Amino acid sequence: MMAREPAWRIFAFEFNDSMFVPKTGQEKETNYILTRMGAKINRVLISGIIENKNIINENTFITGIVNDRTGTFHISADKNYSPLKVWSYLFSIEPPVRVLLVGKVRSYGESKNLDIRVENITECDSFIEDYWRLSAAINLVERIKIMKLALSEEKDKLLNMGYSEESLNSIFAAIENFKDTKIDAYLKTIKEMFGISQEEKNPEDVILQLIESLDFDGKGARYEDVVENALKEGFERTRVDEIIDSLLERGLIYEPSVNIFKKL
Amino acid sequence: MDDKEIEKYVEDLYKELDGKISKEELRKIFNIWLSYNYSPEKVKEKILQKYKPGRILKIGEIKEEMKNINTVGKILTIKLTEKDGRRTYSGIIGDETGTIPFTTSREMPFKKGDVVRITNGYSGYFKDKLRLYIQQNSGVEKLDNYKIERVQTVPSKYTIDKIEGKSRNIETKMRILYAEERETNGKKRVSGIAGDNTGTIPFTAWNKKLEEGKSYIVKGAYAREFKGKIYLTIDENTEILELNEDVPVNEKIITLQEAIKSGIATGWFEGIFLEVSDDSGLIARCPVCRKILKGTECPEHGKVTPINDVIGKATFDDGTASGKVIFLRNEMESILQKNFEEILKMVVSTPGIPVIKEELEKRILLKPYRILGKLSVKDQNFFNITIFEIKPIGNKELSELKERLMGMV
Repeated sequence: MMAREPAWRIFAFEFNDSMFVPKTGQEKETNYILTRMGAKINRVLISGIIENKNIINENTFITGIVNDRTGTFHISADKNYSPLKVWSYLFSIEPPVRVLLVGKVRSYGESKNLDIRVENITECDSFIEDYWRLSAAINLVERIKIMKLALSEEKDKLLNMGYSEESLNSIFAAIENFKDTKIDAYLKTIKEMFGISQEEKNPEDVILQLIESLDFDGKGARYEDVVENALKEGFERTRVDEIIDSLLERGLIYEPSVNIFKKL
Repeated sequence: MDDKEIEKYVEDLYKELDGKISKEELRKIFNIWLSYNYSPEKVKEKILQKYKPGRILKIGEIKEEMKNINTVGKILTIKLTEKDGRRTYSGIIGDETGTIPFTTSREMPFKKGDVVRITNGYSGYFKDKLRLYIQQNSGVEKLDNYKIERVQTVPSKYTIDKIEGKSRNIETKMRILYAEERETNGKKRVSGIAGDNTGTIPFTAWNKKLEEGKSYIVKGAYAREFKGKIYLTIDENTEILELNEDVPVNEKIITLQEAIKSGIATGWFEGIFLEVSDDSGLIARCPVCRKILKGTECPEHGKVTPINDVIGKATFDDGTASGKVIFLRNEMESILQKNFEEILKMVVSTPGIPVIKEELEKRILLKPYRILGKLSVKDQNFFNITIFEIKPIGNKELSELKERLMGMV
């Protein structure tokens, strides 16, 4: 049997920036979408305001729009297939209502529109919504971090760094399919959302600090250690080399032996 | 050092020397040695050496730089090394008070397990370890009728994250996060979860009193591995001491995916309950094995009078994986804020309604919680978590998340 799909905490702007994962033709195949930031999603947990709802098809189908302040999700419930509780809740509410809901992605119509079939839903307060927004943001920033690494490093290396094969597969697939990763735009959105200032640390200071802190025995820091930690901080390998060269030239560090660096 | 303490030493010495030396005399000698900046323990040794030469020391009593040591111990290891024609025996001997490594160039025709008497040895430090040296003029003799059953080996100190399946003779400081007492074959068994600031571990203790919330230092426990997870066993020979101060426990949240992948058995998880199962409610258990019964027949114990219990089951999801969690009676009582009697009353007064499920839904469904739980992985894809502690996400947890996000971008 298949594992139960985890419920992704995901913002609407990323959810809608996605593609359906092509089916391989097996029976009872799970629907997945792949987002630009490498999330392969079947189930979601989302929070926001239900802005409007429509009861259609002779009172047998409900559609609605949930706004999470980054964009909107299309949700739906079917009188015959959705849990009774979900159906009657959606049937009775008067938007706007703040909700937390879990559901599965599916496509509908000729044009393959993206939709969330609600599995469970509840009204919630702003505290729960804040909690959800933070969880979604942390999840996204973590993936962005891995994606940055994936742009410059081999998969084997990332596996050795402890990232799971499954998440790496999705991230490499996203890079291949979307070409432009738009990492900076995504990060900017997150920072604006939480009012985090755009101030960047000086990259040379970061590397210099790494060389100092990775000097465990007083003989200097190993090049590989510096690179590995710099990658985690979001640097690309070539950029690290440039900065090390520049630090050497300016006499801020020296190379006591090959590929060992020490702060002066 | 005040007079009272000195008097205690004098008293001890007086008894030890069978009253051969008057207390007054002892007090005088004691104070003289003390004025030469010797520690009271050392002074005591010096006095004993002088007035009671040849007394047999327990291994645990051997301190640094003692002369004329007489002791009896069991040989735990012994080996002969030959270098440049010089033969050296070395090994470890011990008794019920401790162990000590020994070295000698004297012939030692003994084997592991032999009990030997050593006279006129001396002690000293070498490579940071206290050792017993046996000289050419020392006496060494094997005692055939002297039994030492149990040897107190010095436990190695561990933090909980460093305990491995093969770890033996563990000394660790830990706080009991959860404890449940049962009786198996007349033996009292406490099982639960212990933690320190490096992690948590499930434990089982035999005939020991370990209370939830209290902190202990445990000496001589051992670990075992079962289905890829590590458990700590505290048996009758393990020494436990209650600590006055709390051992700090790390509530570091781990993801379910990490826990499954790395084989971590217990930990704090943070997530949301997506569903409460229909089979939450009252259950009947076999009074002997506590198995959940369908009727009054236990597959192992035949016809029994079942005991009532309550159980809750729900789906818990932390965004990385999703699994079934189990609330046992204690946790049901705490989450429903009712004791078992009140829960029973509630069920009886609302016939035909799955009231326990509904009450549980009211409190946990689609709400974020932190849970301390034990993971049992059924196969790669399915796992159960038994909950030992549960707490709602509050403002504190929210600010922690905010800080975490700030640190990341």
